[in-house]
Amino acid sequence: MSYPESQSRTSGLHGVEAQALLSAGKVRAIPAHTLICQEGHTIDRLFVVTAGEVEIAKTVAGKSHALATFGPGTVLALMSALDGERSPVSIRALTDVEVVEVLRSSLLSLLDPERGEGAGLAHDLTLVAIRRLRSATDELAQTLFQALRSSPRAGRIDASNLARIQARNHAWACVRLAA
Amino acid sequence: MTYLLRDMRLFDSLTERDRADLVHFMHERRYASGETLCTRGEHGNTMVVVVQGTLSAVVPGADNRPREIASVSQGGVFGEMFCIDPAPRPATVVAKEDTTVLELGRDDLVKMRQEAPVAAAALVNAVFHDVLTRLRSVDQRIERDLRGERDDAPKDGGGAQVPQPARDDVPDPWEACFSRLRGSA
Repeated sequence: MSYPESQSRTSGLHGVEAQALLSAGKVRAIPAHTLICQEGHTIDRLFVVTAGEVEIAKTVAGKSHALATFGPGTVLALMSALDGERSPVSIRALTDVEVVEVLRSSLLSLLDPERGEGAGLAHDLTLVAIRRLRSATDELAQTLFQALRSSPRAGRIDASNLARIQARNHAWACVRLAA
Repeated sequence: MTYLLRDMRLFDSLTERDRADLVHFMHERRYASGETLCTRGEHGNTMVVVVQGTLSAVVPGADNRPREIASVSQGGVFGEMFCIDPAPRPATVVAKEDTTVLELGRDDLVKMRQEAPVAAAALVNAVFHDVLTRLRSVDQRIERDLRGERDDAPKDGGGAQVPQPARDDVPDPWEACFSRLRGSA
């Protein structure tokens, strides 16, 4: 199971909303090959990649598999940063990378309904999350249907497909960066 | 009607004022037993809260007869994602008995953002966290499969009830379909 996959940037957050998210964090330079987030560990911040490439990997049957690479505009670890659960994937800098690091507390403060200024960002992030959830459930259903079709009793599931769904759940290519 | 939202998990983070504002922008509708609220595949943009009665969500079964994948009764909610991001309905929803609901459409939410911005932001935040929770549950389901574990425990329906027939009778993809239904039927 080793099918690296490139993902292009898609629209999601842009203009004022993207700027609001980036302004809530601090710029950090990360050297190539540095582990940004380790599988099975908790993390209290998300990262927006502004330069360079990162790789998502996962350990299956004792072996680490590269699942996808992501470039500028990708939001990493948003789900883990907000719910405090362990990350099911590792994130590593493939090249020298620049990220904006946003702490959980800063994000929650930004999204606070009483403060108002993060309403647009919350709306756009919700849209991205909804679309990701719909895609993930469709991809999962498709993978499971294939398993049932090929072997109704044994239910052999394509592990690489499942792992790639996880990779996409934790790296959203959704911020359109200003040129 | 605000009392109804008080006990609903989705609206836990809303203040009493937010809930009152939300109800103000919702529309009460009554459906007779057997009447259809929405049809699978048609474009939908409303969130529905059941005030009284029961709704049944059905999809075509193997023999093309309607097959119930979920039911939603008093205090249940579905379609909360659709008032933010309209899309085709994944299931047909029919009133099982005479049923009263509160509906919030996308246009209502747009109006709410202008006239009651704090309540609208609170609702969007609530949906955002709910979607993340469900995305996490997809992740956990995948994690179990990758580890070769099976989980037959009932899932948290969050206001809706999923029929639980024998495992062999229900292909797992219905769980995914149900997950979509809660937020997008």
